[in-house]
Amino acid sequence: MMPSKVSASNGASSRRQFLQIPAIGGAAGLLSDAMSKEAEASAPLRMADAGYDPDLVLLIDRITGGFSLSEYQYAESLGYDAYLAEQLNFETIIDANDPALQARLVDYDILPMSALEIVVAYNPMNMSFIALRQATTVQLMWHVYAKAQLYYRMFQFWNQHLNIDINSSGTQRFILWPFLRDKVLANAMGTFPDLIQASAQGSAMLYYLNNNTNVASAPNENYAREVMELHTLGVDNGYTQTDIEELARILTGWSVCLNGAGCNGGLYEYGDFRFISGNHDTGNKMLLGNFIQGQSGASGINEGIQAITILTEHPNTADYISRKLCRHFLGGINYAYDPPEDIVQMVKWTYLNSNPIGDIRAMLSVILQRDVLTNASSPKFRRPLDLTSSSLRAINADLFVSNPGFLSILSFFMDSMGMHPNFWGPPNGPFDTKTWSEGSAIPRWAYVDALSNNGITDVVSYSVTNLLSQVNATTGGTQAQGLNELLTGGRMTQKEVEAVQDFIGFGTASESRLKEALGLAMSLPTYQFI
Amino acid sequence: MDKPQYIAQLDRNDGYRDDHFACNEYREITRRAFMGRSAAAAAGVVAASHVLPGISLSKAVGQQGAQPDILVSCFWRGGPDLLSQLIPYSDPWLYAAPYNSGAEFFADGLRPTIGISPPDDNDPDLSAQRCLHLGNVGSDAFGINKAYHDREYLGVEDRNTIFEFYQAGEVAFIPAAGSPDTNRSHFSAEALIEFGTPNQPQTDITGWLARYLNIAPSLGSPLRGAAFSSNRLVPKMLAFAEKTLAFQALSEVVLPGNPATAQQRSDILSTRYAAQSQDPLKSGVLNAFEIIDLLQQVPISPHPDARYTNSSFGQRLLNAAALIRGGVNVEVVYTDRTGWDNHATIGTFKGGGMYDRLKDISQNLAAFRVDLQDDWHRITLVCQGEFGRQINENADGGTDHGNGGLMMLMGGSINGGVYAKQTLGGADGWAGLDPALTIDSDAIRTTIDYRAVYSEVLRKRLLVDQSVIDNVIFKTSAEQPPPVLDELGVISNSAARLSTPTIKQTRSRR
Repeated sequence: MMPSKVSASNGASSRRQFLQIPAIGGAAGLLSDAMSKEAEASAPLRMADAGYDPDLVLLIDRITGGFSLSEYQYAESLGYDAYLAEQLNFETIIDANDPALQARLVDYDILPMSALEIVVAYNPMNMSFIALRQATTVQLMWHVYAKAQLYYRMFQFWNQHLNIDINSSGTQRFILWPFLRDKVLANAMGTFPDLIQASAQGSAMLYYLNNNTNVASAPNENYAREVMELHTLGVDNGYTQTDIEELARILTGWSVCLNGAGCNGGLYEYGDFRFISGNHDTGNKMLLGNFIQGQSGASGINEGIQAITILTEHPNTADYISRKLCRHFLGGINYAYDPPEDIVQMVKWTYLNSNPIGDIRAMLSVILQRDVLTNASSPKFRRPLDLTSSSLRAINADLFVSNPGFLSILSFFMDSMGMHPNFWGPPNGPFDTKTWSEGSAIPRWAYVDALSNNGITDVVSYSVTNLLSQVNATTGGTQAQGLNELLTGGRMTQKEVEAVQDFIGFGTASESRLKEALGLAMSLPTYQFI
Repeated sequence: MDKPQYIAQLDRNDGYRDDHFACNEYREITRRAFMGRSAAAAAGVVAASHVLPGISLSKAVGQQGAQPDILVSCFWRGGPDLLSQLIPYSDPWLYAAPYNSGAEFFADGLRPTIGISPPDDNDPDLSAQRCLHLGNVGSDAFGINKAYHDREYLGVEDRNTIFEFYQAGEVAFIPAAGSPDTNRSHFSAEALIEFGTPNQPQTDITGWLARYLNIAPSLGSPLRGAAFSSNRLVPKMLAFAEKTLAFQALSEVVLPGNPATAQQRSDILSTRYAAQSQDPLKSGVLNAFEIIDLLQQVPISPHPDARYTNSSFGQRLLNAAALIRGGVNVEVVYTDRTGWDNHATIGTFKGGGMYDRLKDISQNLAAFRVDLQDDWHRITLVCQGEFGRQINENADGGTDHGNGGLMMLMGGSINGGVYAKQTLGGADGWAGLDPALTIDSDAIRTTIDYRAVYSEVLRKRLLVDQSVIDNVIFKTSAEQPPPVLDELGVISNSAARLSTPTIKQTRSRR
């Protein structure tokens, strides 16, 4: 078993120090209310007597693609704060500093390509699905294998926030990947205003939400609406239909070079963002009570940049984004995981007062510090993508996709569970609510059963005996507790562990029996939650 | 590296072998069949009750106390060619050579090698390259591919056919029907149809059929929707439908994994989930076990006169019929038939691929109808694809993606016949192959919105208020300009009028 016993009170000495964050009136009182609620809600799922620091297990479950023994051992060697700091300062653990990940991505040839290069490579003979598969399955590789787990989790968070369905048109198969790489990933840990400015000049976004047809003579409000409703202020959160119409006018001419006239006779490259001043409405506008001076010619683009600055610096945006981040990392009460209000307010304060404004790392630092995370979080159901990545991580899966352009069985399972990267149709992105927990049991069981019993051909065989030997749990009667450690860092309930051990039996167990037991353990209630 | 197993495991019985010449997009989206040892049901997530606040299903006037029909929705995935199925043989453009649209020029006419000729009563041989006369709409005459009347299977002519039931007045054909959107991507066109709002930006992830199911009062079954999918996935039209599972056969609906340990694992899982507190996961899991227990009791014993073939489509229909008969109170059944993406060598004549697929549909849907003869009064079956194909054949003897396609209805209350419109909302008649009437000079224009057909079914047979159809199911009330949804009268207003079928079970061709 794990050597270093950590007492449950280990983190308590600093338990109140989070209030060194810019004080919010009455935060301590609010937090203790939240703590008592959360303690009650989480009690049945947590069993912290297996020698694992439950705070560190929780952190890993919330910021990575899922708990794994190796991740835990590495985090433990650094300690909670240093591990979190390294994840927040991800620059030192990406690219050349993550050779193991790079080695797994060598066949993904679209990764450095421009949209033009992708369309040249994969449009002939209708091979666009190779580009599609690479752009989506690479995300799973990141969540399973990257060192910079939080960075890629934040990528996914913003990817879903700025959801684009890669199947919404054939063109997206070529232009989405550069958007994901250059707009979303590049700003995943930067500032929120930069992220939204980048997205607004992202061809995939403008094309997906029809802004390429938003011209002075015939405005299209689709992107203007969604940028306020979904990307910044939040639905019905302080804007009117008039604001939508005004923002649509402001954004007239924000377009995409795909072919012909849109590319201005070859001055622009396929997939480029392009401001077409001739399609821009040069009149004056009002947005959320702000006067926006109409501008003509190339400077007409400045209206849109100014408008997005107004939106991203708006307190309602700070509230909406802070709440969404807290919901994601902490969870909360009710069907919608309403997060603790006092923490939301602290994060919102940080959003508005960080320099530059909307600093994503600063907000994460508030949410993820030990006292906040461990006291203010409540159980969250693993969404299908998280179940997929966490199970692969837990068994240390050697995931191979010999040609990443072709369909993998993992894609089938992600589809059947209902959540596949960039396969979500509407722009709202996959739910972060309890919806996922309602009726998906059988496909989830089918997935973990197939994985644990080598029914997924993309996963090179793994040895459950070898896994159990890592936690000294190969002898009769100890294997279930070993699985508990490998899968959850000791979170399974006593009754679950006993049931799995009963299933295995108490003598020598065969590899196939142990694999079934692994699938069973992944099917039990605790593993469905983090 | 070995060939990935899933390629080898593709369903050989159904459309996949037909997909040899399919476009890559289509091959990609259909190759999802998974046959691992744990091959199992895939469920839609149960819909959140908050999705549809404050609107309830009401009974149609005059049908108080009536039970809604079971809706069987059959999707022909891949874009089946209309002109290989229903032949508007009085349209002179079909046989004109050359066909010159201005934009396109075909010296030998539209379909020099795959075109089907007008019917000839003196030439009944099925192998002849002629159609059978089906009926007239206005002054336009329609024929049907003889595959729909081919009884032969494995060398014996003992199968029932759709054409027989058409002659008995039980089948409706609707050419130039489909989505009002002209998207020619399989994936996009399917999604637009299945989400049910093809003229609006997508704002909802529930399928239109899911929205029906979620608002209809439950009959108490743990399995309200059953998708007999060729790929074992819940289709988008049922996305987020309550209590809905996907599978190919009832026997698959078991706890995934080793059958030898299923009981033991099932006991452990049900005990541990039952001990969970209030989380919605618990009710979902217990419902899943209820389904598993229930379906194991459903007998698979088709009516002795029902002659399904061994194809995957036939076997899935056999299972669907067993489920409907089995007292499970299932409300919506989905199935599909793939293999229609025939970019090369479409094979419209006897012995060809298209012909065989149509025969597969015809013989198995006829068997389905015979099988369910005691229940047919409460069944409405609707078939459609995501689009039809181009009017001209291409250089490889196939056809590329087009627009208007075929819808076909069967059921206890169908007014049999051919229904066609010249234009959306226009006069009865054929949409036309005159280049001026087509889309981009190469695709048949959709003149009947599929939602018009389903709206009639929903209102008359599923007892749904028009306001619910307009506001919840197809959301047409939010559409500007409003869509043209003509009522065709394809559904009889009277109660089910059918009793036992009077179809001869075997009959020689001549």
